Amino acid sequence: MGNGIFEPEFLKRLERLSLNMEKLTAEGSGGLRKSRAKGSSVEFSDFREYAYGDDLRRVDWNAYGRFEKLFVKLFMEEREAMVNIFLDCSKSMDFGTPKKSIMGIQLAAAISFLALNNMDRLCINLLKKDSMVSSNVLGGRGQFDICAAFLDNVQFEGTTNMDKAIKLKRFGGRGLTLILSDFFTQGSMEDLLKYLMFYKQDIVLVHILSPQELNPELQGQIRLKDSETGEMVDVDITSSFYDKYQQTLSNFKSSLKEMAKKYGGAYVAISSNDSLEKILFEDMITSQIIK
Amino acid sequence: MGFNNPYAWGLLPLLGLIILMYMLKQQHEEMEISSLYLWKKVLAQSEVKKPWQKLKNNILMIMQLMAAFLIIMALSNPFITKGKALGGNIIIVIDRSGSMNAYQEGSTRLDIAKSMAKKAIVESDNSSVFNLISVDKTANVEFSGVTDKNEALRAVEAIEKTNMSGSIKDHLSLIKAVYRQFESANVLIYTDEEVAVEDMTGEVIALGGYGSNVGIGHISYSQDNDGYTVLVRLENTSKEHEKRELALYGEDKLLELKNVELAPSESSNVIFEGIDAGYKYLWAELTEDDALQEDNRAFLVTESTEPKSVLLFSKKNIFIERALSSIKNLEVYKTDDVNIAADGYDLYIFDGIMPAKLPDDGSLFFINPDMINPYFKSGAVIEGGRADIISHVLNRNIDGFSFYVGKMRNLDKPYWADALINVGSKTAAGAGVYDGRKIAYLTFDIHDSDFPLDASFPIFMYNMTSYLTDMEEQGKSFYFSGETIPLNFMSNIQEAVMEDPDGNKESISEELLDYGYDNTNSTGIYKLSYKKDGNAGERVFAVNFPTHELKNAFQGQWEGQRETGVGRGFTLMGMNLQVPILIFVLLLLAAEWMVYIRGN
Repeated sequence: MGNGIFEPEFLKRLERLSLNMEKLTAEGSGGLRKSRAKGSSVEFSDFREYAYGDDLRRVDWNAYGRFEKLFVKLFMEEREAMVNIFLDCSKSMDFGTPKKSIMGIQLAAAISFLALNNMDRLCINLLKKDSMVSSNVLGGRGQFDICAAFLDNVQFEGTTNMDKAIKLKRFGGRGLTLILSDFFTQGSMEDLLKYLMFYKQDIVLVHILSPQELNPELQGQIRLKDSETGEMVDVDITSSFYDKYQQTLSNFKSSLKEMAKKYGGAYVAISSNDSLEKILFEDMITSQIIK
Repeated sequence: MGFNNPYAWGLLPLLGLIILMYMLKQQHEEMEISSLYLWKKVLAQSEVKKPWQKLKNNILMIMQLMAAFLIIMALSNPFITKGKALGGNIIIVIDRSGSMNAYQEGSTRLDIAKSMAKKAIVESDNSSVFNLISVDKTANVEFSGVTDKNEALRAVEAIEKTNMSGSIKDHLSLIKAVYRQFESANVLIYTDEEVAVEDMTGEVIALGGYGSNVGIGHISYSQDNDGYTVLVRLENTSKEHEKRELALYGEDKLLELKNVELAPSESSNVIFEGIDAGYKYLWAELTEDDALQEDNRAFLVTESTEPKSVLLFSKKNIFIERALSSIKNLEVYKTDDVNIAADGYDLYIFDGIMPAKLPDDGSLFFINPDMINPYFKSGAVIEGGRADIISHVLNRNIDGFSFYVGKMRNLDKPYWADALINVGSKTAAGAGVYDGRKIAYLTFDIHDSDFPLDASFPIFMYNMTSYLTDMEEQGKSFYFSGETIPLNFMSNIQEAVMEDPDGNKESISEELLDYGYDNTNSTGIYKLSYKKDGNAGERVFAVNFPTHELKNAFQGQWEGQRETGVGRGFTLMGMNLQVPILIFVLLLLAAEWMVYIRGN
């Protein structure tokens, strides 16, 4: 995948966007991201009462003179954020028309662009089976090419145990974790999200499904073969069975959404059939992943 | 519960075929999808929520198996019976006399009898042994000792209607004889006649009843100068006033129509006068359909009126003259002039005298011939004795009779003649054909015997005359169905073929003419075509529905008789399950269709 993947006009629009992070990492070098942590910055944020251990240099003596109480000046600290993109590389992602894998790569690239453009640090992780392949930590717009090259030639095969694989990741500190997957995965999502929360990650689940999964056009007696495991199941797809599938799919999506919400994250469901513009400029903005 | 056709259960393995077809059908179309993740959840959910849903895929199969099973069950013709099933030896007697052709609620009594008998067979115990007797003018044992119900059913179905007169009562002895063959048996008599099973165990199923019917009881005619006068007697056997239209036909031509009104149970004579003569047969018809169709037509054959002529050479013989004069359609001429040259007569009788020249035509009958004649050698007068009339076709009705002869001529029987009367070893009378002429002779003077005093004499003379003049016996103007039409008076005919009213032809060999023709079930005109002396001839006979059957057909409602015997009570209240099962199968198939539609 080259840099030419995005059209200039599209890039211009992308440049106006940035990833929305509620929590910012407390550590790390300065970036363009406004941290919620108040610190020693030029941008004034707030006052609070002095507490034991506060730097005496930050006490606002003018305020002390007026109220006879010690107040400390708080400043917005601009920090760089750590953005981790986890792309599910299981065989199931390689399905659909258009393929979910392509949508996954494009989205990963677009989000990478956003991150690098905002001077965030970026790491792309390809989830394969129980492990993952991670890129170097990238920073700065100039490194988008490296990012694009990393995303080029990604192979989608086998199964993925997202829970196990992501837990291999050592998070340096707070950051944003985006998981791009169809979530047809082994392992417990709940455990994974707990783990990510423990590492103070802002969680974004990007649920990519193909039109064939959203509205399967199957009928009658069919032997379904799992592309990942080769397992087969005989089903008699009747209208009532189809209704149940839709119900199950809806439950699946809402459970992911609920889970994401529970752990302070965001969830967006997209179809591999959707245009990238729609996803980035509508879906993700609506779900406040991008602003 | 029992099965009339247990062999149908042999089809049960077909159920396996349905299962096999399902197994083959279960070859699902294989399709690769990204992941079974969601599908498994759907399946798990279906199974958890409704345990019976596991069967849902197979519910169609189960319904089809049930339907197939029920169809096989229906084919086995199951039945349930209330009470004790009819079993053991069953003697079924079906009356098929003419009155059983009467219609009752759209079916003839015979059809009702047959269907009831079949029901009894179907519902009887499987160990039953069936005997079937049909009764018309005779009782016919259709089969005996049959255990196969299907065979019994076929035989019952094969019983055809007849128009004959017949009574079960006349044949009870035969039914009893069949009954006594068995240690125990049940008799089922289906009839419209009031009859009792007497000392037999069984049941009389009464099929009689009132009906709206008018029939023709009799038809006759007389002839005078104005032509025929035809009398038709109508019998109203119903309990109501009946109006009818009566048509009279001469052969195929409608001659006259009359409207008749009859009071209940009234007999009425309708007379048609001034009917042109010349028809071979006449028939009357009631044009309206009623309960019994067969009695709505009656036929009669008119006599042929061509007289025969006889010339009697005799001094004086009152006996012969009397005998000849009593014969209908015979013109008798008498002479004692031996010098006349006579010709043109059908028969010449020479009683003791002979003309100078024998006639060239006609038949000859010599009585006490003198020595001079070209046909036989007449000898001297000898002592007579007891004369025996021997068995011969020409001695019809008189064979075995005897009389005494005082004296007779010693005459050797010529080779062409058959002996008719013997006196000791001598032939006293003979007849035969010589040189194409029929010739008969009597070797004694009638006055020298007591023959004229014997009842056989006029019959002998009649037989001789009719033989020698080819006079045809008229027979009756009509016969009843089942009666034998006598044909023995028709001698020397060949290639006789009888055509019945339905157009069926049957050839009758010469030897069988004596037995007559008895295949007279159909009413109407029978035509006998034959050849006699090289010429084709035809005679017609009329056969009518028996008056007796007409009168007895609507005697009234009779309840029948049930003789259940001690502890037997075999009267069945059975129910055949075939139809209910088939209805259920239809409902099942409809439900299956619904399931199929809903499933998709």
